[in-house]
Amino acid sequence: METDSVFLQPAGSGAGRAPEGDGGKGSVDGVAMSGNPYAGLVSHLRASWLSGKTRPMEYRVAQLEALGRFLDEKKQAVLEATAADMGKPPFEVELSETLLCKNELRETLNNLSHWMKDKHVDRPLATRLDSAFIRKEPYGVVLIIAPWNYPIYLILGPLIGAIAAGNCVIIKPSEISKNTERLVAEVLPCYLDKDCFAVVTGGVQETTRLLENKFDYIFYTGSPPVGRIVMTAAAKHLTPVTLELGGKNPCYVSDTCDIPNVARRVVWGRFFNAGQTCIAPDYLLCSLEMQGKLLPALREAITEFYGPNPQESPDFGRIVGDKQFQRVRKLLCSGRVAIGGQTDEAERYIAPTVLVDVQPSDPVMQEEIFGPILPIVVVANMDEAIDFINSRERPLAIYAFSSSDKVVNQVLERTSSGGFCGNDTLMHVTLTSLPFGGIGNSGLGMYHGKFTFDTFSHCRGCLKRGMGREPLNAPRYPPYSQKKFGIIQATSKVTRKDDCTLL
Amino acid sequence: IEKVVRQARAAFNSGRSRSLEFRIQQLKALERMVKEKEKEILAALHADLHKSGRTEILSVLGELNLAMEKLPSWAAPQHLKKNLLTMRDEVFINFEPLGVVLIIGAWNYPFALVMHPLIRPCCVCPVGNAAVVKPSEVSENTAQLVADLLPQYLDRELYPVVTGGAPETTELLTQRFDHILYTGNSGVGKIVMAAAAKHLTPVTLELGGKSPCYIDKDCDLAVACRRITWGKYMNCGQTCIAPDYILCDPSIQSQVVENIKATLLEFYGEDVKSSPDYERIVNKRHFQRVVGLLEGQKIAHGGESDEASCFIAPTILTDVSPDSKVMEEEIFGPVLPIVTVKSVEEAIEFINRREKPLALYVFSNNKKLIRRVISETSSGGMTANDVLMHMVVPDLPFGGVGHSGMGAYHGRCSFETFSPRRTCLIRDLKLDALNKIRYPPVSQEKMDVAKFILLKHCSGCRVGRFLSALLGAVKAVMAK
Repeated sequence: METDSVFLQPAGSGAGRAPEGDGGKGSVDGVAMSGNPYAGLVSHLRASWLSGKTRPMEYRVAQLEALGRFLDEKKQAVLEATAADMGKPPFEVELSETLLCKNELRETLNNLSHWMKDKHVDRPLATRLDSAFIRKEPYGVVLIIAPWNYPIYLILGPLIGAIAAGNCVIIKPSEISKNTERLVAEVLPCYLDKDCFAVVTGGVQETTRLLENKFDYIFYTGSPPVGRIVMTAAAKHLTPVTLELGGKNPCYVSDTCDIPNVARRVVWGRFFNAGQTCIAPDYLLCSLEMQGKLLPALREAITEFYGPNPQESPDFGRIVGDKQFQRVRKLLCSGRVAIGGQTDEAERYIAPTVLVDVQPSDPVMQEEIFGPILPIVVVANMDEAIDFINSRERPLAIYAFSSSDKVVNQVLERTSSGGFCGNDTLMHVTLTSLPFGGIGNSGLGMYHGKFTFDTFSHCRGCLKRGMGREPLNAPRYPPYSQKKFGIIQATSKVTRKDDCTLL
Repeated sequence: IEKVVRQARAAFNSGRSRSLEFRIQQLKALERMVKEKEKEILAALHADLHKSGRTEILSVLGELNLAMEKLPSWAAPQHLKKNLLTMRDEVFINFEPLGVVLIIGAWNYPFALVMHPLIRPCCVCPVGNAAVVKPSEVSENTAQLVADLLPQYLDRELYPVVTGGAPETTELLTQRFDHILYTGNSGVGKIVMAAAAKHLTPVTLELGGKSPCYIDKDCDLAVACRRITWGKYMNCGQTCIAPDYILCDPSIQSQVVENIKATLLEFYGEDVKSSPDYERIVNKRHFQRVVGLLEGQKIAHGGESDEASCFIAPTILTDVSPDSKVMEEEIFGPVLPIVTVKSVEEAIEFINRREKPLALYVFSNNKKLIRRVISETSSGGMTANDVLMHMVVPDLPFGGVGHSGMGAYHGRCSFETFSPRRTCLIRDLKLDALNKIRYPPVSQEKMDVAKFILLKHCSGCRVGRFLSALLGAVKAVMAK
């Protein structure tokens, strides 16, 4: 995710080109002009939604199956686009983009009919003879704004849930991953119903205009500063939001642990996608002694994974753009480079790097790194590590490595974060049955699997009563009396286990 | 105000609100408070709204009961399914306390709308959050009472009360909270959400809107009208889920009026003003607002008002035009407009053209029609063949959608709003063999095994899959 505001970016690909059409088309390039350029598109989609087209399960299944076909048929195109955008190794694409999307699809298709069912609930005595249930309803027209680091998964993941819940969707891919943006804008609409799903491309200006429209839900993945802008825009229309943001994910390594395993798992998590992962371990906390033991292990793991010269490894990625490259490269000045540190501007290559002698006030500790740099901050012990973590914004993930269960549990219990993984990195998001989301500065709301479906559904409480049995209602009507009140009390009471009931 | 919030946060950080015993103790203290100070609470409610208040107290006690009973089970971490790669691990969801919650209450049920968020097995006490409570200044007696009583029974630092009006609320909103729960109108809802956006604070907004009530020709009109009368004129119409207006066929309009009139007589007697069960409008400003809505309307019943006592008689308007003022804003008063529509299609279209309401009501003997109305409209909640009652079922989520609000509370659904879920995966540090599949350098073989293990399958024999995966994993490890 971009840690500096997307707002500062120059306008995207749409500038200078006339808009290509109205809401009937799959892809619209926006240009700033008087009157909102997307109003037509949004109302077209809203009309489709009001027509009820997206409600039947068969329709949703058909759209989801089409997404599956997109993933299968366009696999090569996806590999090429992500490689062009940030040198993504094919293995990473398969694992973190395609495979995760497929899992979400399968989980959703397997369970959709169950998820869509009305959920009947327990009733108090007063409504015992009625039908009370929760109906899951689509919100209407939802907007999904995706980032550039996992451009396919972070569009399709939410999209699958939004479609499954019966919504119409406008997708706004990131203009920074240009090739994937083009792929999504040109190819994805061909698989989906153009009356209900559209892709909008463009940069900051276009996104700002887009956000002026009223949506029924907004799902944003990106940085906290832009998250604030999105939520402020949503507030104007009272639009609910899910914000998947980021932060600095701490990784505590205790003095008792299996060092080679720790090193491998941390290196894997940190340097996957060249560090451009929202849940990557951002920095390490350990004692000076442990640092001494870890450094050779980290060096060995890096060599094991990427060879003696990672620039030549087909399994190591690149930074997505020049601006991001400059930003990350500046962070190398913090502390001292213990491993790596080499860069190549032409390729936007930054070597897997470990920094030591890092002070909490250094630049590398002020922002989410989002690059292949791992600073180590020395702490005396676990308590100091926990205090350090708690003195900062709540992160998206916290990692703790220790052979002692007690230590791992202590860190878990005394800190707060979106998610937690003990003795490994990243893995907690691979299970579709687990919710994924942030807390505080790292985000609002959650998704994955059924949670995505629930995110895009409004839970409507429904009660169906009969017209008869009116005398049973008599106690609630005026004129009020103590006797009537007593009856109401008795029939709506929830008895506690230690209360004695006479029935 | 800044000091109060800081203190609450420090108190929260001390960790004392996390323990189950502490929370149950606070809940018990609240229960004592409600029981011991019942007289004072009823007096304040009567002073503010001329209401009996006993149902408010009842609902609060009910909520307390539910919370104390269910808390241990709701707060327990949830263990879940694992996939093949994480078979040997511990996987669970922890419910965590959020931090400091800001509760902004409303004036129409001033006691309940402050107490419920405090108690509700979703919000504060049961989850271990701290809360800053801001009761509505419009219901001044109850606000003062809450400010006096809460510190006597609850932990003062964790649950401070802040009184005041718009300036105090504005200042409160500049502070950083971990959740804001606001009950009130859409206009202020937007302001609250915009303020929350600055700190990326999640919000629950319980707003309002015009809750439509469709009466089908095929229904028992007498019963329907009695139920509607009860819901509409309760609390002098000042209920967020009151049926705001009626939609019905022109042919039954006069019957509806007659039935409601008869019920009003039954409920409040000939002289409504002297009935002890009929409330008053909360203040002059709202009184003037509601009376203003009657301008130019056909008054079929009622219409009398007395500014000195903020009394407005139960009023019915007929043949109301959809464009009139009374159809623009939420009435929140004892005025019931009837808009005629020729069919259920027209009613559905009418409802869908407007903002999504907090509640929706439909009266009919025809089950198919009811199903259709539910499927083709959207609202926060709904009740068929009655009004208000969906709120009584504790496990039904209560909340709005679109302009009528976001987020919900009641029952388990909302427990999860105020205690965010934290996904926890605890792995074995020792066994790294299976992990080797994911590490570079990559080979086609590794790829195949990884896919096999991680990819979900539509169907298939579980044992067979497990064995094959295991074999594949062993193979990959041996190849290394």
